[in-house]
Amino acid sequence: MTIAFRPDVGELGAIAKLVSRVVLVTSLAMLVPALVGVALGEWQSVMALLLGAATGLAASGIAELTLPEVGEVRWGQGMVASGLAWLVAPVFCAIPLYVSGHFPTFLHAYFDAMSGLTCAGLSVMADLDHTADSLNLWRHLMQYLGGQGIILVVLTFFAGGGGAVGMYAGEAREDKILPNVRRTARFIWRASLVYYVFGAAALTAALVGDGMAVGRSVLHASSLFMAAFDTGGFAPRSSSIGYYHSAAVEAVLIVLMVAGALSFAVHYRLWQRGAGELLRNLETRVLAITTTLLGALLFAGLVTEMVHTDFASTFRRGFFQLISAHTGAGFASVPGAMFASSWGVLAPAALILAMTIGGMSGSTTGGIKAIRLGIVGKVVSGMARRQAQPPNSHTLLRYHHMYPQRITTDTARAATMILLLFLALYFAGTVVGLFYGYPLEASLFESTSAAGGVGLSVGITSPGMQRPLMVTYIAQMYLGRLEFVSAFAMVGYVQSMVRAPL
Amino acid sequence: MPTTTVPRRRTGAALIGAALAAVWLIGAVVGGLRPTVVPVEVPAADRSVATCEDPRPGHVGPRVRSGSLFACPASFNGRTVVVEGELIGDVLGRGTRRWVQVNDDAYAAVGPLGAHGQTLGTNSGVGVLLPAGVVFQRLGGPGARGDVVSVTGVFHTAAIEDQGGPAVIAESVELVRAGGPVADRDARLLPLGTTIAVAVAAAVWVAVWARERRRRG
Repeated sequence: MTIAFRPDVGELGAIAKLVSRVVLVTSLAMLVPALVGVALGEWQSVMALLLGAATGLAASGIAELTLPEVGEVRWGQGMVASGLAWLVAPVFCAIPLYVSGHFPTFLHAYFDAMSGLTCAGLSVMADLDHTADSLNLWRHLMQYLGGQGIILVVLTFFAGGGGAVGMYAGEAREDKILPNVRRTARFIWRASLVYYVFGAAALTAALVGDGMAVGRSVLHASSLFMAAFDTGGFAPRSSSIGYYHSAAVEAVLIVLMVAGALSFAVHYRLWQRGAGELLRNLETRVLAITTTLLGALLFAGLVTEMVHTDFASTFRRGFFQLISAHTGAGFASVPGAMFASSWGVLAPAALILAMTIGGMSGSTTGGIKAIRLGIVGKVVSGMARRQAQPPNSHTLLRYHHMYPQRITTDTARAATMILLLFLALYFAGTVVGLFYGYPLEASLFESTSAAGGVGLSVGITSPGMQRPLMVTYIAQMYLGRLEFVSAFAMVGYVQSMVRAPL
Repeated sequence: MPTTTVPRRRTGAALIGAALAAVWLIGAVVGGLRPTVVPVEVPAADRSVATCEDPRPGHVGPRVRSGSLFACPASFNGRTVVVEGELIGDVLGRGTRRWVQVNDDAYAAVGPLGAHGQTLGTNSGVGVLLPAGVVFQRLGGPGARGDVVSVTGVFHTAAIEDQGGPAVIAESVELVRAGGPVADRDARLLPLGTTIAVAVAAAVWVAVWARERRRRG
């Protein structure tokens, strides 16, 4: 794939207009928690949300008035618009967060907005436990918007043509479930809403059963659903899932996290009663293998460290954390500091590896993704087999992902390149953490969590963290979510703008 | 072939500069609308509190912070400890004994952020299994400061009662300070700023709507 960078004024206008539509949709979304705030009488929070919504609406309206109509948008423009939208939208999403006073600087609020939209789940919010419910709902709604794809939201209502495909792909989505992008977007929303109805109902029932008031249960359940299904990892309380002390809540969340880690193409196949896809799909096979191997590693670590005294405790805590890390959700049922202080080395190592891999491509998870690992694995095993074959023989590598596919040189190169870029991203964040004096294990854990869009933390991420480290994690969350391509396209555009003749 | 106008370097740099300036401006303007901050004094570290460096091995029932419980759990595992903090959120559970979160962070000491506006770090606390029959009415949350209590109980790194979660299994709980509602801080400029922003947004979108109507004839 080659993207031509020839930015002219018309192209810049088209890109700006596409970005403004993303801002428009995210701004309108702020009205939902604002309405909840009105119902709960949280007036300052309502005003903060209205201010954010109005600022975004004003900006997008001005763009609508002043910029020329968007005609046929090229693939490259869509890519750049996607890359830029993921930087601009958090600015507006951060406004209510910053106005609330729970963040010391706008950068802190931007960090949480980026973390929310990219579904990373790391947070530098101060005093979450006393935050207004409507503002808390906004944090989780950001994860829903981001997990589904803010571009996808826009595509549901606007845009078509090549640019739409470019924007769709720019958000790290590859599967075309239905013939056109708009219908695909609508299917994704329909599937998500069905999961919401069942998931939130199950969580509400579990919370009510655990003694929470019905109204609060609905709020918590909605927030938890959005964070679980979109593998975001924010939680309504600072102690994450440990707050609920509930096996029932954890069980429902495991189902939702796994559902979130499946690609929407697989969901579509399941809706079409094609359950056989789960058995044949390369990604589900890879995930089954990695979950088994990493699970064995994690349980071996927990048992050798004698963290728990019985099998049930080891299984409940270990399995939940493994699924949370592997799907990129980032919920914690034990305080993050204890991963470093009492889980030994093997178990946290298993969590780091799980975070590194992530879930399926075309899902809401982050990380390298199972399909790339599977393709690289097949290429490596193909190379090994070739050594044992006659010199002129030809090995055909195949895999099944929705339909039988061949591994071409381009496929293998793309998978390897993204895999290497992710490893470089994990490494870069680790080095910055080390530079600020954090231990290697903690730096690696936090960096992987940020770049893989997971959100588990051993304590480095906090309001008092160093600003350059905060900026590093923001960049990691952004690049990890977009899987580099659209971000690189945008950098190419910017570079060509500043390199133009004087 | 269509003609294109490629922006020159100065224009490109100016556009990027303008975008960054706009972000800075948004931050500065909305920052000015935030509720006023009422300075509070965070109590100095209490030397009687056990720490990871000084877990007081011979002392039964040392006062300890949740941060130390999680940073060096082996030092406190199975020992009777005292945790003092604010009751947060909900009282949950299915049996005769219920779970509650006890936060012993800076906000437990000086009040919720909503009351003063000073950011004093993230929350920290520990799950506590209350003795049977103990009921508290005032739990901390949005617009409310929870009761501050002193909990004496046994800390377990992996409590059987919580199927492996870290918790303090309380033997007794004493009320230290009653909680109550927290009033919003003064934010006089926020309603004004919001009203102006809403009016501008409405005006802009009315103009967009009018233009679309004109176009459609």
